[in-house]
Amino acid sequence: MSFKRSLLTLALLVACYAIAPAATRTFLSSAGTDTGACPRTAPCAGLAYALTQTDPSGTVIVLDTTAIGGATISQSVTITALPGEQGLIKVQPSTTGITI
Amino acid sequence: MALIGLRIEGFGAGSTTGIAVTNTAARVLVRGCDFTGLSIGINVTGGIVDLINNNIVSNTLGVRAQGPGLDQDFNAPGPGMVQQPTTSLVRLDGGNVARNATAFEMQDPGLAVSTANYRQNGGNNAQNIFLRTFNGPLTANIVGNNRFVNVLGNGEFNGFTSPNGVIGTYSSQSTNNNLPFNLFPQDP
Repeated sequence: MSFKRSLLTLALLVACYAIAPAATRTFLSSAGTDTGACPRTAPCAGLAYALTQTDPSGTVIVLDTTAIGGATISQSVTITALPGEQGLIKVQPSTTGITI
Repeated sequence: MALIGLRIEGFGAGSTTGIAVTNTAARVLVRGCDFTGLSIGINVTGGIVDLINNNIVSNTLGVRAQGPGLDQDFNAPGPGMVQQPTTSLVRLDGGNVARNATAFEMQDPGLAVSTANYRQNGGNNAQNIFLRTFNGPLTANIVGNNRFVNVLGNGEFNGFTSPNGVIGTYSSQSTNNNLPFNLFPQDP
């Protein structure tokens, strides 16, 4: 009984680890790559990916002026660039930059 | 939801839209952003959008709203009637709206026909785009557009003779043609 309980506890811990919570703040930069959770120490490159790592009411912060790409947003997030910087979105023909 | 410090460019390519807001439940703040070279800068077909200190420059159409705006006929919507829900609403404060072929377009700001609850043309909701004024003038710099505003579809604007006379204005958080500004709790 105790062994089964331990297994169950272990399984729950693994499940919790696998479903990592989205971050309240994620970061984009010109040197970023779209892997991991987009912390400030390892920023991501694209807005669409960063949104998948961001809490539904979180904030995506653009650290320096860089192309971040478009996205469809269905959560109540804030997307903001640091003062003096811009998140660039180049819209291709017959497309939309940001859809809400 | 807030979008701050973005630059969205279309480079003059066909059928490009900077931001499309389609969710009628959306409350969006757009501040300090640039929209240029687009077919449509901001296109709102559902939702409420505050545009503050943006540069909306050199687009075919700067700002477009489609769908019933706010029913301003608060006092007398009619016996047994209630105010018509807002589908699309845009408020613009500060910034530049310049060198667009058309600066603003309001489509269907009212209803086509009366219903059991809502007056035809939605009471006084002839507008779904509102520009802020301060001591008279608009707070935004609106210059060099080939056309200021285009209106089409359903709404009470049909009673106006000049299309330039129909765009909405508001002057502060407390007085603005009866607009209830508590609709925008996220205002900075």
